Amino acid sequence: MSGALPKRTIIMSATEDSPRSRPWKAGGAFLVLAAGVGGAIWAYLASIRYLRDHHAGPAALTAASFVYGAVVLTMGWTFMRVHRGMTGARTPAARRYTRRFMTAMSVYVFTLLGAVSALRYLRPTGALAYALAIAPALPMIAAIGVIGLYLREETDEFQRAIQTEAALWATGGMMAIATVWGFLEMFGLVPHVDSWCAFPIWSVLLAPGQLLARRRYR
Amino acid sequence: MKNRLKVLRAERNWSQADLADRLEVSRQSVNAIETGKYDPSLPLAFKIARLFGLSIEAIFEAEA
Repeated sequence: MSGALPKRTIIMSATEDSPRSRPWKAGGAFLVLAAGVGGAIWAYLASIRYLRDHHAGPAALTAASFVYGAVVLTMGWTFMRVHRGMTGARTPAARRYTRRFMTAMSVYVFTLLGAVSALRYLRPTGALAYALAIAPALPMIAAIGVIGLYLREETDEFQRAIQTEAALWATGGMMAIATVWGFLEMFGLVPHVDSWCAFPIWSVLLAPGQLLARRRYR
Repeated sequence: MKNRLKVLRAERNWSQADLADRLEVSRQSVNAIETGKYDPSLPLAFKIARLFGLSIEAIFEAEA
């Protein structure tokens, strides 16, 4: 065997991962994931409401949050896999981004669990209540910062241009969704959706944003 | 932007991945630049020119 063979194999697998080879597959996976994320958020909110209405104990609420957390992490991980398949290129900055983002999401899940349990068990008031309520938002904000950090650290200008455009598509889409939903809600046609859903929805919108940004370079 | 990257690459018997490694960018970036779909920044254009020992104008050609 020649010494060059292993390197060639790596190059071949990178070629297979190119977005041109399977955009439809990534698109399908995205739809499944988007439905999954939406379903998970809906199921979580519905189960919390059900448990509250039936005066369930803190243990049941914590368990529900735990299941939700597990679903969020699984979705996040799957999403990264799909994202990798779509973009093909894994620059060092992109690898750091994946690691940091998953860390932030893990911290988020545990902070959410802690905050929900503390609010149920301790029933705090005043400043402590505010601090506990804000706690799960902090790792989410960190995740937003991680995206900013990636855009700053990405040395491959072509990849950075694509990711920046994808983020702008996602932002536009998110604002459009929020506007439409806000008016539908005003007319009492749809239920209320908590505003923290904006970031998860925006993250999901990054995937079609990627497809739109890459379309020009096919 | 039209360019001679593909020819220059072929002369040296480099794959897109080889050129990408030398420029420290992804293979997709090389592909997008080579097909004229993405215009590199001035620093990257200089890096490409230096790698081939040519001037930028000898590689890239602005559409008239």
